[in-house]
Amino acid sequence: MEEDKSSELRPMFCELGCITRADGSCIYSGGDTTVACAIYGPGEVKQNREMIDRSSVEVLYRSRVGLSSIEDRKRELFLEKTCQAAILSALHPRTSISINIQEMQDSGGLVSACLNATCLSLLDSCVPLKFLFAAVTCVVQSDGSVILDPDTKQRSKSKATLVFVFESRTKEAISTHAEGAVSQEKLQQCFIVAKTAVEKIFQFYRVVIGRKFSKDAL
Amino acid sequence: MSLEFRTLQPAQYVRKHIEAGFRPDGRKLSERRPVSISSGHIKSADGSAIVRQGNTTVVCGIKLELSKPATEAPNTGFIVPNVTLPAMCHPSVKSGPPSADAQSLSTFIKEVIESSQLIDPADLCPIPSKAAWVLFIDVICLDHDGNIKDAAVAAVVASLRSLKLPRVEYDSDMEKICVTSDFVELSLRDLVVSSSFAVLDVGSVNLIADPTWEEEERVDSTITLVLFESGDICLTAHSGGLPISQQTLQSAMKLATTQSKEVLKALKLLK
Repeated sequence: MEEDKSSELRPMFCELGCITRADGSCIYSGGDTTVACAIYGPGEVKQNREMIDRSSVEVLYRSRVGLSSIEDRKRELFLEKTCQAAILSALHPRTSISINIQEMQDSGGLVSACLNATCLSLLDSCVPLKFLFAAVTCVVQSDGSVILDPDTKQRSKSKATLVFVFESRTKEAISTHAEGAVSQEKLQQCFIVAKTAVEKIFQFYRVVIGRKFSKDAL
Repeated sequence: MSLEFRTLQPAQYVRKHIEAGFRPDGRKLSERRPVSISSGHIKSADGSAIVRQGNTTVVCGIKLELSKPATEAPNTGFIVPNVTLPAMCHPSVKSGPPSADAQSLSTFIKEVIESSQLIDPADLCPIPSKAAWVLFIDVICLDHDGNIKDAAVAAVVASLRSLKLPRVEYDSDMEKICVTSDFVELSLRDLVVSSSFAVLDVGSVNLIADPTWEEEERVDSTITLVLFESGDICLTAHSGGLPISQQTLQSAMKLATTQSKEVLKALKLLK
């Protein structure tokens, strides 16, 4: 009998501290989608980006193949806005926090993988945060069914793709990006499905960080 | 007195107004600026429109070029949107390569067009495998007083409505493509309207509609909903970090549905 995998998140895996030169780093994968993230900061800032009252958060995203495109710029801006909200940048004025993301494999849900990898790397680098954030992707098929955390095959058959980013304190959405025609009711439905699923990701973060500080790791 | 307050403490200035229940320009919190759209005035472009939303002014021009379709998609044409924020639109904008904001607006327009499927790609390919139209959609902001997204979407939809494609014939004996002077109307599958809100946390106020530049600067979070005429959602973009609850999302959708009716009326009057 086939299991109903449409409302489950794909298995997550994370390794912290793998990029040794960075202040914080991780390789995160959700299903087969894998992303590497390295954080340098708070550190020296370029004069044109220097802000006197807080740290400048900069996101650099590199896709697996090809030159940078404006798609990559859009992803960077989306990540940057979310990270700026999460980081207590007022604690480190006149510095920059540089977030570098490398796409390693895209099997669906790439943007959420980038966001989750960023949050884990921020935890690894001990940059002060207001809250943790976690992202979930879901798709709406042409028959109206909602699939959580789609893989490439499910994504190619979908009518609409929705990405929700939630924060850990209030469990409300701090960023949303939805493409493709959906009715207003369907959008609400996907919001609820995503909000229920994001709990598992926050639990996963606890497990990963617990592992980092546990005595067994030494 | 209030000019000093406005210059020295702009965030407080905006906040105090919102706490009192209205905006610095006198609008109610959920009121959108009046929109005026006119199309077809730029004769050198194949399709054009100018949109004014309060002080925000956006011009859109569409140029057509004939090209060979891609081998993997022999029945589809190309749509290339580009948004430019020239240095004249606002004192804070400097000349040079497109800023991250301009690039993000270009991808936003591209997503709206793809997501809404406004144009049937087959309409853009008069002779499959041989001739396909490339639509260069250029959006230029002349005056930036906040909320370029909404004005840009309205300008793009209006110019697409004014666009006429020349009829293309293929002479198989001579193997030549001729562009005739007859025109074929480009029929749009639907109309879309964008509604942007600034997300706040001032007392019980969560949303203000159609923020001006002054308000946009003082607010970190915005949410944009692009709706079809039927009320279905074509695109949702929310970023910035202030959390929104389901109730706020619902009020945003309701407001967007009511407000888009005015813009739809203006768009329909054009033809």
